[in-house]
Amino acid sequence: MEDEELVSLLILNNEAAFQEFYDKYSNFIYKICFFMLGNEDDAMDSMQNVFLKILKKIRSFNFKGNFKSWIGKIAYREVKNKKRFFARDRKKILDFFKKDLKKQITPEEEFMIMERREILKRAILSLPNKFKIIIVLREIEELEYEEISSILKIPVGTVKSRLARARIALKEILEAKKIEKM
Amino acid sequence: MKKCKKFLKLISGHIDGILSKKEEDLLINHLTECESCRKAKEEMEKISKDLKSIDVFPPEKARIKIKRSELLKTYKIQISNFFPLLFALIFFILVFLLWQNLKEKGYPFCLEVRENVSDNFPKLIKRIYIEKEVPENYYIFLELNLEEGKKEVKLIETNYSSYSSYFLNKVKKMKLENFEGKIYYLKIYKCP
Repeated sequence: MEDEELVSLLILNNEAAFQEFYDKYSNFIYKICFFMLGNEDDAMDSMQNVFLKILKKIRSFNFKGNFKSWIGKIAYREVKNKKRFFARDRKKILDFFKKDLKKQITPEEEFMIMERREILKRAILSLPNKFKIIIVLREIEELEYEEISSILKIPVGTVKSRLARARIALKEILEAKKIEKM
Repeated sequence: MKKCKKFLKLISGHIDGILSKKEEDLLINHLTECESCRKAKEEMEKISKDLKSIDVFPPEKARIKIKRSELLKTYKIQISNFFPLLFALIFFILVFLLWQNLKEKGYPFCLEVRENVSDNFPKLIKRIYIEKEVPENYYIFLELNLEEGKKEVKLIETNYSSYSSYFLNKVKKMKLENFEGKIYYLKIYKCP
């Protein structure tokens, strides 16, 4: 189903359309929430809020715009607000992840961490917030620069330079971890 | 090294394929010369490729939790619960404040005006409540002379003399228009 059709069905309070909307965009929203908040429970809560907000605001969606970046905007705003409230908790979570990487306590965990994907996930989580969101949007979600710039409300030039810095930072983190392991 | 930093930034553009031809040529020229940058480029390309394979899925319970009807329920609960709760809170605060007010400004002392204290059953004419913090067992007897248009207050007996002047003044300032031409006896004590 096309986005326009989906939106108009959502406005008409169609239950099936909502299910389809969930299937199509829950991953995208969840990724933003998960990588920005760093744990599953908070991500779930935020995702629920995002869906509620989308339902409430769906009538104000401008059909000329890009639906995905509209959703991204809402999700990003929600996550940002949540982070403000739970700034301290988040710091704890991040510290936990960092400690985890250094200590590598149990063999099971070691196996998990050895996995490349898990390493990458944790590396993204340990990035600064600015870089985290841009990596998620560009590398994982593969959005266009223009879409990212409209979600984050920054110029395209800034997106480019920030993405470059984020990639370099990610590379440095991963290199540091390799050395640690050796 | 400074040069390399600039090229590292160009690599990001190269991965996304957004470099101009001039920039692309510059980068390729540099990469043939500089080994560390070549390695960095390979590394970054590998990371970028691997990142695309990362998939984080929302847990299954999210699907049950996030349904249109469920969401609208929570939305309605948010709205419908908010106002009654707020009003209940305001009501309780008001009651609490009122109670506090009454507690502080309570009238624990009675002023009884009696016609004649020497009778066995002196007639109670009036009972007034006074606000004043005094000891619990405090009492004071006063004689109020209103004969021939004058107004005289005399102290007969008390157990704490330090409070007498307060009550004497209080009685003097009192408006007693209906009791005229007689001697009254006043008793002040803690209300039963």
